[in-house]
Amino acid sequence: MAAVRKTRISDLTMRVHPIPPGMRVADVADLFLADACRDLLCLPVVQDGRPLGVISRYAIMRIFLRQYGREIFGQRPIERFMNSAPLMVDIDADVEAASAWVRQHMVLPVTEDFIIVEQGHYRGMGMVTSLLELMEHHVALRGRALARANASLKASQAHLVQSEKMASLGQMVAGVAHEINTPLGYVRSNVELARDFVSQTSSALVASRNLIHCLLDERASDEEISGHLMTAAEETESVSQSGILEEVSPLFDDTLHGLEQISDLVVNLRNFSRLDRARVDHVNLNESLDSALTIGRNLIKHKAEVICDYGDLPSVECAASQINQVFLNILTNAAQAISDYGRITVSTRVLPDGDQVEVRIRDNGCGMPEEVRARIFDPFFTTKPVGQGTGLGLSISYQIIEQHRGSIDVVSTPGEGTEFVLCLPCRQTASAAQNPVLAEAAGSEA
Amino acid sequence: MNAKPTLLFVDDEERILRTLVLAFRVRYRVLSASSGEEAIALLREHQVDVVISDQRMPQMTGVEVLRAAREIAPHAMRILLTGYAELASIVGSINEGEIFRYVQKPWRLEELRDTIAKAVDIVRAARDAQTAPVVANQASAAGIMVLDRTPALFDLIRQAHPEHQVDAADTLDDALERMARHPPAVLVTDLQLPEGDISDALRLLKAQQPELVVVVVTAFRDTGHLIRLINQAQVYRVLPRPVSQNMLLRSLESALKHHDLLRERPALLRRHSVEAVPEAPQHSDIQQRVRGYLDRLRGRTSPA
Repeated sequence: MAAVRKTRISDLTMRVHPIPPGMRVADVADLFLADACRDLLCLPVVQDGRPLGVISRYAIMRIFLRQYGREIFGQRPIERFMNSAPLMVDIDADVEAASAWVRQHMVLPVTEDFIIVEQGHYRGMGMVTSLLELMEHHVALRGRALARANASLKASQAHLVQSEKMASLGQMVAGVAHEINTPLGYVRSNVELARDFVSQTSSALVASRNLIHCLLDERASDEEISGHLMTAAEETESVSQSGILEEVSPLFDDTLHGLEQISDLVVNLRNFSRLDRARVDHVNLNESLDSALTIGRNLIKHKAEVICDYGDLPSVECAASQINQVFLNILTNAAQAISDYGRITVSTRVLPDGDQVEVRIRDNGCGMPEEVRARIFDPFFTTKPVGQGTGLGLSISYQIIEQHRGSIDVVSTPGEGTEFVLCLPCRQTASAAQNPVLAEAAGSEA
Repeated sequence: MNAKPTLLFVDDEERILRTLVLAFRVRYRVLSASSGEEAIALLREHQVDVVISDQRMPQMTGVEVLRAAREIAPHAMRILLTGYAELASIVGSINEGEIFRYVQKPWRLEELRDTIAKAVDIVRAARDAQTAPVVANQASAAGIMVLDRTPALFDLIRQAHPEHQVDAADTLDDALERMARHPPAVLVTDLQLPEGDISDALRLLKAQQPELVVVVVTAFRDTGHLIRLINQAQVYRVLPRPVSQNMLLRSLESALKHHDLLRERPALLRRHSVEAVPEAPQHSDIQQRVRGYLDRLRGRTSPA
């Protein structure tokens, strides 16, 4: 707003030569006909520098339109006919205040302009139309400033959304790294063990092969045979002593299990981010919940047992990566609300009308009082210690659900727990599908 | 008692336990526990030489297990084996667990074998030392060296310990100079000094002078760095800045006691042996300075 160039009343001032109150009506009428006054609606009546009133072209016309008007009134002084309560504006007045005042007091149709005074002294005339024009210009400028402010707000909001995303991404990556480290730990160790085993068993195999060669060789002496037999017996005995043979199979089972877990995590990571999928997709929310649970497992598994009660769901049209983000956010909040070890219940169903899906996520954590509950979707509201939450997670979740024309509600009782209830329509209406916000938000991921 | 040394592995993932048991059972008697409670029960029941615990477990964390182990089986060496390096757990493992090594998952079997073998050697040697007579305790007024940019810590410590010689320095060079003249028992130091980060210097110092007990006071929060301080410098305590006065004095108290213990039983020194420091040529000037100091020190004390 500071950018609006200040126009002052003095810039609007027209130097109109005033007329004395004693001037005759007929002479005033002649003045109005003069070229210099062609654009003027009215003329100021001034005495000793002080304005007494205005006489409008319209008032003169009314006089002359009467029968014999010119003859009867033409010689009379103008002060008898002037408007002695004209619109007056101080030259130092604020343009906006002046315009508001003029608009409030002007008479329609506009037949008079206003007098500009400085400490009661006549300074000139101002046209109502130019004042209104000026205001219009002001409004336009302000509109532009507002648009600019709005654009920069949007940009900083997008920036905030991005940094919240990065923060939760960082958390997620750290969690997933830990999840992968555990299976990776035993897989690596098992493979190293297997390598040792192979080298141990291979020496037994070599010894046995040597023995067989020796036995099949007609020229072999008894001594040679007994030597090979001894070595082979020792080697195979040491292998069987080591218990390797019994251990190898479970070792490989564990290894495969670990690899399975790692690939599971990777698949889920990919499903979760949906980078390789269309922005708006048809997804089964049960799968979305599963992938959010896997990604958040590191944060959740030590805090709660998770019970999933999934209904048979139709696919839902949505920006899957965003919906996943919402689920992860609510699930990690639920885990954080539990102080020791609790329970998180996730249930889904189709609403009776058949075109909405409902997801409920309930924890038996600490719950929250009403004054907290009422604010949890506010941006920057957080109950977590500084540095642990941006206060944007739920506010962004709220926006995402809203952009999908869904709803998100929360019920909470202190000491008992919290339940989030989300509803999403299965189909986005045509207008929603082209919802610029949805499209834009989805696009920002690329 | 020449039975196999006993290891105790603690992890909530049974597959981790399985592979570790398999890897170590030939040379050691291996116990395993899938929770902190179970581990504590085993510690009470058996003489354990080395405890190797995961950090993140339900109910009880690794640091809690190791802290309990410190009380139940003070002679057992403590190692944290974890895939998740959180600042809090690292600081806890130093200050509460007084651990020997911080090993990150996924581990290399060879390295883990070496680390455990070293820990076992140390326990065995220390146990023999327990029965050996105590070295005549020259009642030393153990000195404290405070190395920091500002004198606040020095003032605090001098007031709290009038009976000890407390010395102050604000650069590494200055400190080394003074330490060569009066070898201190405890070094209280920040990591960031005018000459930069002195972690490398600490590692070298500790490698050469294991009886020096190091208390680090620092504002920085780089987990990898702290892990190296455990494994390569065996710092005794890490206190976050701004320092709580109580915490500092309590740490100092226990550092001085610890130093006395080390002097009484030199075999215990090996409990604080450090990993070989990978050569860091970029810090060669620091290395040189530390070496210079150590040489001077040897010149002074070796005839004793």
